[in-house]
Amino acid sequence: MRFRRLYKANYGPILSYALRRCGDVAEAHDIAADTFLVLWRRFAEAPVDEDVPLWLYGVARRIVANKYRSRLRADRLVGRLGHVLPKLSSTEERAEQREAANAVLRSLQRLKDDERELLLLAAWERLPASEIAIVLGCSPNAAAIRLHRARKRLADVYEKELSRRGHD
Amino acid sequence: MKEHSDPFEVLAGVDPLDHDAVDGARSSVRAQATLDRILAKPTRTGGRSRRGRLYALAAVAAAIPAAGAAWALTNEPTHRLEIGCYAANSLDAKTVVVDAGDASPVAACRAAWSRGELGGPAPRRLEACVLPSGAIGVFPETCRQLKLTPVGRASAHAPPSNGSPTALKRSLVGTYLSRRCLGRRAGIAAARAAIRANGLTDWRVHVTTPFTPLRSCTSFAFDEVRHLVLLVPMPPRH
Repeated sequence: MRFRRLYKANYGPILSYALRRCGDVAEAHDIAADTFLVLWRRFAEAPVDEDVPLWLYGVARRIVANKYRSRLRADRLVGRLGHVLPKLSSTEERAEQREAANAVLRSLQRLKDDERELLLLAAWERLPASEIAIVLGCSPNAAAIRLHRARKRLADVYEKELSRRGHD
Repeated sequence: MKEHSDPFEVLAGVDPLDHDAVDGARSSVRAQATLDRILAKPTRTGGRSRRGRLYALAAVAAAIPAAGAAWALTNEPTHRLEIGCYAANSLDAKTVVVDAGDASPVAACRAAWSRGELGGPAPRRLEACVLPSGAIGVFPETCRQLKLTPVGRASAHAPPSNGSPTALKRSLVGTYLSRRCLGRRAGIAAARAAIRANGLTDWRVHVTTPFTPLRSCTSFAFDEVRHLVLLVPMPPRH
């Protein structure tokens, strides 16, 4: 059965996506379940097998965005990527690397949601611009330009973040 | 002026994903239970062309006998490492996933009931059923009411025997816990020895991602569908 095959092939990547965004295993399972329920309910409209993973990322992205919208408002300072920081601080990386990583994550929180998602799809899901385009529903050219701009924005905010910390 | 590293590259290097959690979770009973719940739901309500609706109905109609046929041939489950304990006689009921451990599926779920994890006293009757995904679900009444096949009597009430995937898992969990850090080579050797000792000749060892200086120790995960022991590189345990 096609759905069963797609589920088995894509559950891991979608669970990983959800886990990277929310940091909680139980919540990530819920997001993955909601994502595949959408696929099941709209199965007749699902794209060809090769494009299903990207289509699922698009669905999961909307589910995560809806789920975290209210929480982000209430908890903006902490940010939804806060779960990454304790993990980093427990590693054996050198202090300098850790500080750079913390500064990047703080910078990331200061970007717009769209910019942040573009960067995370490229950095963590390792998607090229042509595939990010399918996830976001835009042209490959637009995705490449937006990714370039987002990387530049991140670099600018990061520089400011480092100089601000340097003055503290 | 000091040169800073590219923040995008730094970001790519701080991927927070716990590969161990994902490798274990994607073939877990929870994932199987989710699949069962989804397959029990209608594919779509309204908003599509008649042709699309007929197509979906045909797909469901084809799927149900196909799933039924697979498990009608055998009442032995394909996933035995974890068990889904259901709070009511429905695939949509609250589910607690328990490790198969040394107990039978029914005994493992009865223990979960008695710990209060399913919100009430244990029902007098519990029955272990083979879910459409091949996992084991234990329900308060009968499998027949849910159109599920009961797990073979021997499997439902007997503890896992040596030579089962459960025994393999138990043995490798023991190995993992006995050492602060099991390197890649030692991990592969331990997995192969456990597979041999349990007579699971069709099981293989697979290394999920490369070991690195930061992730130099082995953790084990199990894929019962593909018969794989997965070696997941992790930092040393504290």
